[in-house]
Amino acid sequence: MYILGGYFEVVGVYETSESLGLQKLYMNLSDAQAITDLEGQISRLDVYAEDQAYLEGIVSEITSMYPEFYLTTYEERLSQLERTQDMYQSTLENAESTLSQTQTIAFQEIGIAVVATSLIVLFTMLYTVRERTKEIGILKAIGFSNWNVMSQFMLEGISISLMAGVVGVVIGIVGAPILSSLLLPSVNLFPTQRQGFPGQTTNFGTTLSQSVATAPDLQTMLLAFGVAVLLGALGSLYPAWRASRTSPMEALRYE
Amino acid sequence: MSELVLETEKLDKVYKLGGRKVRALSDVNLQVKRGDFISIMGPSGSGKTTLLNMLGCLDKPTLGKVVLDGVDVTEVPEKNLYKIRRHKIGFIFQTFNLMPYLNAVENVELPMECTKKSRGEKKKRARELLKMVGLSEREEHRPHRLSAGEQQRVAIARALANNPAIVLADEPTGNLDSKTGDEIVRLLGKLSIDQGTTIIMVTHDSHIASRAGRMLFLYDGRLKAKEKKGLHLMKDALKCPNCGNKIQPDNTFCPRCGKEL
Repeated sequence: MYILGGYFEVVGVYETSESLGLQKLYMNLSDAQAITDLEGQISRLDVYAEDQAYLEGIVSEITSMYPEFYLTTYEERLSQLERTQDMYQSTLENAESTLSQTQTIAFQEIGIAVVATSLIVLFTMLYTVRERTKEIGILKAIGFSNWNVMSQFMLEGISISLMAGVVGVVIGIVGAPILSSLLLPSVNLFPTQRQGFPGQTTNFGTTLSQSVATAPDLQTMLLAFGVAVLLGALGSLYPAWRASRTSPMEALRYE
Repeated sequence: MSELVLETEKLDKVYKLGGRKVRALSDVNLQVKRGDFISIMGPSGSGKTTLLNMLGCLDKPTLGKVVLDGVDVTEVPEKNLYKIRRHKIGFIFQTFNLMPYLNAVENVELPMECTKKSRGEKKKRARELLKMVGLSEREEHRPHRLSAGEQQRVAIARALANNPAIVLADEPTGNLDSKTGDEIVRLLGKLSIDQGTTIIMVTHDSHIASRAGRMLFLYDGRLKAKEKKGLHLMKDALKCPNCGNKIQPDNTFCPRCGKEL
């Protein structure tokens, strides 16, 4: 086997439980010093004590004999490693909690948007129904049933929110790349990605990469439409029911 | 011919207005034959509109019966009344009440919207009706591009869409000048003669009322018949009030004696 300018004979291969990436070979000290141009020098010396009780004596003796040596005991080394591990652990936990915080905030925002949207649809439709009381009266007088009137207003609410959904997705497709290119350089860790109007906000994605995928996929868009229709239906339910219950006689008198 | 299409029996309506009871109609007995053109006159507050609401299934009487085309509508539950309104009744309003965002044909199609007719059938029927009221040229016009008289003609066509047993007109000439009003009432008479449409018209204009074949007077909720005079737009009553000559509903002057009708 050729190692750093010298041929060596492999006399045996040992098996170990050590992790991958650490490759070791054992060889004669003087040979190792010769091929690495470090004759007469060593980089590390492990000292094993027969008993834990001798440890302190050995440590103080070595320190007094070779004050230039950097000496650590096994226990110190272990605690050092543990500290390092703790540090990594806490960094990881921090990152995770930041992520979950961002997620919680995003979900809260989505929740608020959903409630707000339903309320907006509700009040708009209530206003529409009130505004068109006379029309409802006419429709009922010429033979529209409660169900006809109700479905008419439901359909109207849903189609308006569907249109809003289309507008939202278009704004999302156009606006998301612009927004992310403006905002992402400063907050490229766990950026929140959104599309559409508030209320149709559905995509919450996290990524560490700088190049965030901002084009919404088909599934997201369908989901946005679904949410839009659902909110439209939800918000129009009560106003449509109110409309269907309007007395035609009183509605006709309404101006 | 003399089949009864509408009959009321001891019709009473009592409203409660702030704890006070107001008797809007009392003991109204009305019999309407198929093809009749009846006008109901009366001062405001006499119960004209109340009566019309009762006949049109928009309101229920406190007492009594309304039998429309053989069905006692006071027995029909509220949620099924729309069927009666859709198929048996046509409404004509004082303010026309057309849908501003629909054109003439679409407005006429509206009552057929929830029936089983196909799109083509609805369109065909609407065109026929507009032709009948003399608006073939204005099918695609929206109400704001039509004159008041034309709008009322569209409303009349709409009232006839589902071939109702009875047409109820609430002050149909109230928003029209006297000339246009006369044209409209003549059109109603013509429909009653040509198509056999049964019409009940409420008005407080005695001239308009006198055009109908039968005039009734409503006073304090009580119905009284009144003598006939003027141009009576009903098949068996269409005679010149002056010489008794048989006339057509669209004659402005009597062809025999030349007197204005």
